[in-house]
Amino acid sequence: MHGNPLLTLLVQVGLILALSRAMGWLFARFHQPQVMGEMVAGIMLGPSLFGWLAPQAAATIFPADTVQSLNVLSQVGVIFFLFLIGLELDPKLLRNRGHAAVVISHVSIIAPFLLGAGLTLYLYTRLFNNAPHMRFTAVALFMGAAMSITAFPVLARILIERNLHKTKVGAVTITCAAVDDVTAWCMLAFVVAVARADGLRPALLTAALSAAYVAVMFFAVRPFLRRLEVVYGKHGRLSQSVMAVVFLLVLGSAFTTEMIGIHALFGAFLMGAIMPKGTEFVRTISEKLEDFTVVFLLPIFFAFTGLRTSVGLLNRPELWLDTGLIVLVACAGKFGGSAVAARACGLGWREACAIGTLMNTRGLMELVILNIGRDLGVITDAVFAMMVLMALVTTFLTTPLLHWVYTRSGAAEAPGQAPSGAFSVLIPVSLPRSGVPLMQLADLITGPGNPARRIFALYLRRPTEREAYRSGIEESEAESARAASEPLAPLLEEARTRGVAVETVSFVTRDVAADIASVARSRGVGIVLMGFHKPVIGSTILGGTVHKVLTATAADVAVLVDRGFHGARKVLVPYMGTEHDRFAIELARRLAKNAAAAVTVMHVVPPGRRPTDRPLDARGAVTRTFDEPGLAAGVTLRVIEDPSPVNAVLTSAKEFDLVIVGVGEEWGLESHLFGWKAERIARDCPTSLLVVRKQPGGNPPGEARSNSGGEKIGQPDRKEQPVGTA
Amino acid sequence: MSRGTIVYLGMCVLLVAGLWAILRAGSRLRAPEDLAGRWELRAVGPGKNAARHDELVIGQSGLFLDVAFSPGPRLGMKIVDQQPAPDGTIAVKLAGGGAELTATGGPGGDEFQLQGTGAAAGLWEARRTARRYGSPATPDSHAR
Repeated sequence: MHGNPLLTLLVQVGLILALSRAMGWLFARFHQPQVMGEMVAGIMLGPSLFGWLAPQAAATIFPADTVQSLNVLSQVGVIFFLFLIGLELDPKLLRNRGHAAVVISHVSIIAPFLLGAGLTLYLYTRLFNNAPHMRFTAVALFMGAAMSITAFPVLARILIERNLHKTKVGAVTITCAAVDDVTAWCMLAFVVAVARADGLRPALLTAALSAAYVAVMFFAVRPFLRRLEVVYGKHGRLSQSVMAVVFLLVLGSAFTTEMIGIHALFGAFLMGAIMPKGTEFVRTISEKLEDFTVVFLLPIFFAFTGLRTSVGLLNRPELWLDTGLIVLVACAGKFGGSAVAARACGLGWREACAIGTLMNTRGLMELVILNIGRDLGVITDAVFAMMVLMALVTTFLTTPLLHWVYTRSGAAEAPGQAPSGAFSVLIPVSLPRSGVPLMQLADLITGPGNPARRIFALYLRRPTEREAYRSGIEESEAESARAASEPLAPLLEEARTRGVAVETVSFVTRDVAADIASVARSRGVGIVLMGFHKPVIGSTILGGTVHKVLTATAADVAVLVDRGFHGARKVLVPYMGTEHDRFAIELARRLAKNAAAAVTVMHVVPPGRRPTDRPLDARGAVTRTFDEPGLAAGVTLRVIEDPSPVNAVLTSAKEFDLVIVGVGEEWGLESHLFGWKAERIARDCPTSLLVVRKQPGGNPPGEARSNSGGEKIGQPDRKEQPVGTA
Repeated sequence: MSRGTIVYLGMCVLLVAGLWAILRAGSRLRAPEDLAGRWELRAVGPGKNAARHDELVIGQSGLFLDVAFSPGPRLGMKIVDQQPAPDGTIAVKLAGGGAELTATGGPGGDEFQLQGTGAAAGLWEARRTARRYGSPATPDSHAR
């Protein structure tokens, strides 16, 4: 491999891409942004881990004389990435901003900037050298700018994944981040000019040239881009010639700003920022560029950053204390500044802290700015390593902190919460075909014509690879509507046929069960009614996502195992006395009331039951539940002696349209909550089965019927006969 | 005037005043002498190990230095003193890794006299041939 730079480069890039994808995937599993994993992968390939564990191997794979190739690739990657970031910048976010957004965005820059510059007073005599490029002014301005950065794309992605982008917190944060983005790159251009300028005259010249450059971009290049868009519109496709022109413009803009002295990245960013927004033209350019830039070039940038990050330089406790101080100041400035400003603007502490947490996300933008600082010679290797760690820590903290301060407590405001007294059902739909029976059942349970009912249809979609780096804010509304329309179409059609009003909810998720629970909580639903789909691995019904929903959701849950459900004229409820069984009886009562279903409650007792055995007040449960006039006539209590309750149910089930069974050890359905056990009743039941789980305190709002007011399960009821009907 | 506006105006005033104060205070600060780079060594003293070392590579982040003699030891050192002399030169004392080094020369210059004791005993004339080394800091630039 030595002596052949191409072979070396191929091995390097292959290793970088493989590790980067693996770490991105791993971090995504732990609800961290994918970019976080890729950043860590870059650090791992450098002297901090790979070079430390296997110095010889690291030197063989990344010899010093070949790393320049990676440098060039990474620079090109960042130039095009910044162009994409500029493309993402939506001027609508900057116009007509609310008062709160203006204040918070500016304070969220000023506070960290001042604290970062102020921290330099302490660090300058400890961690910086008396070198020409490390003049105090340049260092202080750079440290201020580096502390002020916010990773707009990462932040926006977190908001979308948490379904917060439509909330007030989300809207304010997105606006602030967009403002911060523009301000940060302008600020960086200024810092670079200061660091490079050698005296007042060159500085003034740089400023004048920069102003002229911006004017040309807005008044000459922008109109030209509009003409390009017209050409695109005429042909209906992006020709290679037009794409080449766009590339040339990006490179030309980057070249100009580099020559002026305000760094090539500013030129790339501005080029993207002035492109016409929200058009198919820009979307096509973006899609063509994105995969190569994000999948291929950006990981190389992370690796290159990792190769220059030597955590080993922090080899004294005092240096780690300095690192801690940098992290603390960074958080105090960004988190503290944003949160205090948000609080001053009238937001609650919880919302203010959420905004602060989100604004504290620095992500790869921080790495971009740090690399510029290092190339300029403004920061030393140790400060570079400390700041990289700060970027990792602040980005890593965002998701768990946000969960802790905001979403965990249910503070995320939920539009369309069910009014008090309404009975609401949430139907999460994964496969389109499952929507129809679920809709039918939801209609029957809630009662046709019931004005107080609310039915929500939820479609959660997994994030696509493409969305890992881009904000997706612009497309989110249209995309989520488009993405939800297909899977929910059969359900909505059924709802139209039945005249049922359904509210649809759809967003990107990384944790289906947690988000179902979250939506159920925020909408105040009484029952989560979901389908069962045979998993790819295994054949359990109460495993996987279903198990997670059963355990994570505060509302009651019903899982429909559909075996041709077409209505509920005859319903069987096996009864063993648990609270879940009583909930099953309650649902059966609804079907009796709303669909005139004939309900049979089947109480299975062991043969030869002795008088001293514990009875399970089946009759009492039925009587209490079916206490409305006219309902009692439609219910039958069947008590059967059988050594196997499951066998008894399976034998009788074929006479019915629907079996409603509570989860419980007796039915072999509690198993996955505590361990493995066969789910025979679910597997072998010849008719459709509704497995229900009553959550503690999960009574349907406004419809709750007293289950606890009567006698407790297991208390002796000597009057009950072993065999009989009611 | 709303509370938010007051905070906003306050922050703007704070920015201007604060930045002015910081830059003014910082202009009096002096960072540790820059010794980072690749140095060519010429033994001039009687130190028994001096002749062994013909190159010195220093990675520096302020007070903290990674000093590597070639051939020879690699030492983690810290600037413990830095004093200007009446003749305009500067004497920088480094300690750590069982050695002490004193570099004397013109501030910001590329030629120093280097005197070492302990693990780096000797007397050398040192001439800087590169201001930075290993840029980018590749694995082999730190592992010698």
